[in-house]
Amino acid sequence: MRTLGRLVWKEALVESRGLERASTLLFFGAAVLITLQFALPPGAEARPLAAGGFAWATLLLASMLEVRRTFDSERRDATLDGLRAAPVDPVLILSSKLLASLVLLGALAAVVVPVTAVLFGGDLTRVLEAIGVAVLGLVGVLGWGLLLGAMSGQTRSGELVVPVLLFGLLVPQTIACVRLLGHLLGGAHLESTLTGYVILIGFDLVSVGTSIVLFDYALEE
Amino acid sequence: MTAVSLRQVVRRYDRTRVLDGVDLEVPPGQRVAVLGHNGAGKTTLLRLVAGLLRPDSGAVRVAGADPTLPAARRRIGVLGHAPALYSNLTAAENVRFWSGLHGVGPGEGLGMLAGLGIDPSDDRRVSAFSQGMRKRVGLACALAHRPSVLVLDEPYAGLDAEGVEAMTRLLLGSPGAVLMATHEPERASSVCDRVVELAAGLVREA
Repeated sequence: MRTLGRLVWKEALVESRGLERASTLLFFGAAVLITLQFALPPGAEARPLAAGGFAWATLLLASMLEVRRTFDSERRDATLDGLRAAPVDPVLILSSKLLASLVLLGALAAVVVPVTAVLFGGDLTRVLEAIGVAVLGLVGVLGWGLLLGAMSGQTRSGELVVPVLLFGLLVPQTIACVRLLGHLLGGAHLESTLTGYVILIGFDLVSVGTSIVLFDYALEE
Repeated sequence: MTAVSLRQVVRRYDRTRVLDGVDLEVPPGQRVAVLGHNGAGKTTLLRLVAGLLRPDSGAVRVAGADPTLPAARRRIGVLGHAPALYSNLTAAENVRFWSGLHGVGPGEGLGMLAGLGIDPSDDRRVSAFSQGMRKRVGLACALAHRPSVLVLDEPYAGLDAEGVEAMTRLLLGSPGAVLMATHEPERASSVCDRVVELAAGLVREA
């Protein structure tokens, strides 16, 4: 736990000095939302129903940036080699990255979800639950994303690996998140919210579990 | 027990056998320089000893243990061609972080930092440091846990005269074994007890 604490403290300290990742995510999220705002005409009946999908699309695209950047900076400073050469369990490196990225993306979700609801005429009464759904979905995104982000530096077309593979792996999470968010923000019909939560948590466990098992191999050259 | 042992080590990149059956034994406390032209495989050899790479065949041991295992990593200090430093942190913060990961207090590393001419209370981030200063901070981080094997990749590259003197002083005073890659034969023979050359994937005494 002490080593995990050190790794998390380092992530927080490095980010707090430059706020590079936080500011990039915020500006990127705002740009995506502004673009999506024009996808449907003002006053269209479908706007509230689409709010959940647009919120998830914004968070998913932002998380692509995050999983690439978290390893890019470690490689640029050669600190990934330093971490690998230290007597540290790779699972702790993964856990610290997952926690740090989840805090950043969770904060983004806390902004994006209510703003999307407002922009698209959605329902704000269940916005806290919607933020919780988004965070649950992001756990799964980060599970796969950090694994692929770690692998991407070892391949010639690394920058293509993350989006191409990640979007495919995230189909179940995306369906569950979009349907739950659409239900919570736009009142879209959903047979069973429980099924949505079960799918979301189940695939979170699969993605994080796979990442824990394979992370050491993903870092190898 | 030897500090570093490589037996019939082979490492390929794609179809090229960069190391083609390397044998090397480094006794405790011995300083060994590895010479070789660009692409000869010096960095690959050092990364294998540091546990950052696995051999395709053959065996690498540090103090009798596989260097990819945490127990062996506690005994290894690494200073790569680019020092592993977080640009947004100060020199002292970097030393504290890397010392902590190796399970030791920061006292040794901070003392070493001062000995290398870097003020531990300097509140500038290392991104503001010159290449030579960064190298010195990296060396303090690598030595902070008193490793029994020190792995250095071109440690003199980018150092000014003062940095060269400080680096040499520390290397000559280091009680552990040193494995150092360099392009400079004169430096190798003045700092190290033994010089080997890596060519055509094999190590031979120079």
